[in-house]
Amino acid sequence: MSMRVHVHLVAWSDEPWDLEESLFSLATQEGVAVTASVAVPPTLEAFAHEACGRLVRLGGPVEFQIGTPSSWAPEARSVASWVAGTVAVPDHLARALGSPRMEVVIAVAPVRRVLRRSVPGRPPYVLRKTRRFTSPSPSLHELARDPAFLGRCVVPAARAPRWLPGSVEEHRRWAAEAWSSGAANRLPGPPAVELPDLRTHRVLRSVDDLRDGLADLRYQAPRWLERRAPLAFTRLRGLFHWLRDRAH
Amino acid sequence: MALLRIGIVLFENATAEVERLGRSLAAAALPPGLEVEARVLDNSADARLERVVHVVLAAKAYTWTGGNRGYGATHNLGLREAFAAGAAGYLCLNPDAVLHPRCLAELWTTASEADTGLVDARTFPEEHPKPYDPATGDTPWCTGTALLVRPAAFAATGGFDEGLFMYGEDVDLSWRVRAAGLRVRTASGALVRHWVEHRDLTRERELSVLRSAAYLGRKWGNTAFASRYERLYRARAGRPMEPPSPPVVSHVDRRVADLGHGVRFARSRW
Repeated sequence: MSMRVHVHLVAWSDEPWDLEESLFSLATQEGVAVTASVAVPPTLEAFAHEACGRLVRLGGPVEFQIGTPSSWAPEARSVASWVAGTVAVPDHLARALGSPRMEVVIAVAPVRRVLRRSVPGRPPYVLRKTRRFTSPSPSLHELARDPAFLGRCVVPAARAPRWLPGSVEEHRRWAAEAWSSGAANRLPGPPAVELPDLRTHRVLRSVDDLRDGLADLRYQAPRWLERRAPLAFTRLRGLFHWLRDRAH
Repeated sequence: MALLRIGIVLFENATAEVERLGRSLAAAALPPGLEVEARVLDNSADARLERVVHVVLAAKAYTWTGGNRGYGATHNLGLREAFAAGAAGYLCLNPDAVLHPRCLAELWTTASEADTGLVDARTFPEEHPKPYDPATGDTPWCTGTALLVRPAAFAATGGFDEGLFMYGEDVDLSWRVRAAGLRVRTASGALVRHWVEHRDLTRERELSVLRSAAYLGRKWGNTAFASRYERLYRARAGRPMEPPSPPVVSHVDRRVADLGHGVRFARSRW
């Protein structure tokens, strides 16, 4: 019997493809049972019903419910809150649930930020993906620079506020309550979650931004070398894997 | 009614993987006027997957090929068969993929537009970083995970180059289709889950990539590119590569090839 995670998915825009991709990601998670509550603006309600209806036919261990319930599923071991556009690798939730001291410690996955451009009538076009820095025990201040940051956090039921957040402000408040009772740990490995880059300012403003830039450079530099000088790259392969797979 | 033949090449796949693919095919929403049928070609050492295929894929046609013939050569069998039977399209589909329920419909919609030779689906959750035109879907090359081939593309090229055993055959086919004047496109609304980032790059796979890169370099007239990957092969394998002798592409057709971005064969968006 797989452990259950409640994921509350909130759409902050009218972009149906953001919702579709997050739902597809939830429907194809492996090794966990997922209850997904889906809160969307009225313009997306019919679409959300249709999308959930077609995705349950894939037969994955997921239950969808439209709307915001008063609390998360009582049998859930952990809770997460995604903003539409968030996408995770298929074993993200299972790995978070399997992390040490998961009953009490918030698991924070390494991420990439995804910058997209809207395309009328078609899915947004991904312009770039960048790694961002994550410290071993990330503070809320460090994480909350991304408005959709809760999508990378898996919060144990013992620490999750009983209510479910909707707006940007509610996400911050919900996280503050969860963080007030203990620590968070970064999960090991390469990025497991892609967050929509919803920041309004993308210029370098703090040491944290500089660390993000270095984290991305650590990833991009070996790839550049792979294209430009494959023989040298091959000789430095061990270093490349260390840089690629080490959590940022 | 147009027929879309779905060609699946198996090689020692786990039963659970085939079952998962089968569920996603059963969940597919088809546009009016399109029917699909699955055709399975099994390159495994034995035919033990036959029973699973009949149960979960509802594939009427299963063939055990008797050994691993490689991706391109095996799909060529399926392509010839499908177009001889009058199919309007052939989808090369990896057995470790999961189709989004709208994937087939989105692929078909794009494939039905004029002059389209090949269409690929967008891999998920890790999208391929090669670019495509957001409005038209035109792309330098199509990936082979879920690749729809139209009859005109097959007629113009004869299918995959069987000199490529694994890796690069989709790039080569795409370039030849473009050289023949047909469009090569990504259906951005077609999602296919294909999660391979967690897989280790085994030595065998790495050598296959290097061998294919050298082959493509020779074929598409870039000796420096080919030599670079032959040297790499020698460094990794500890022995020289048997020199590839592919059919050489004409100078005119070479204009479509991109050997300036290593084995990515296109600019990367990230």
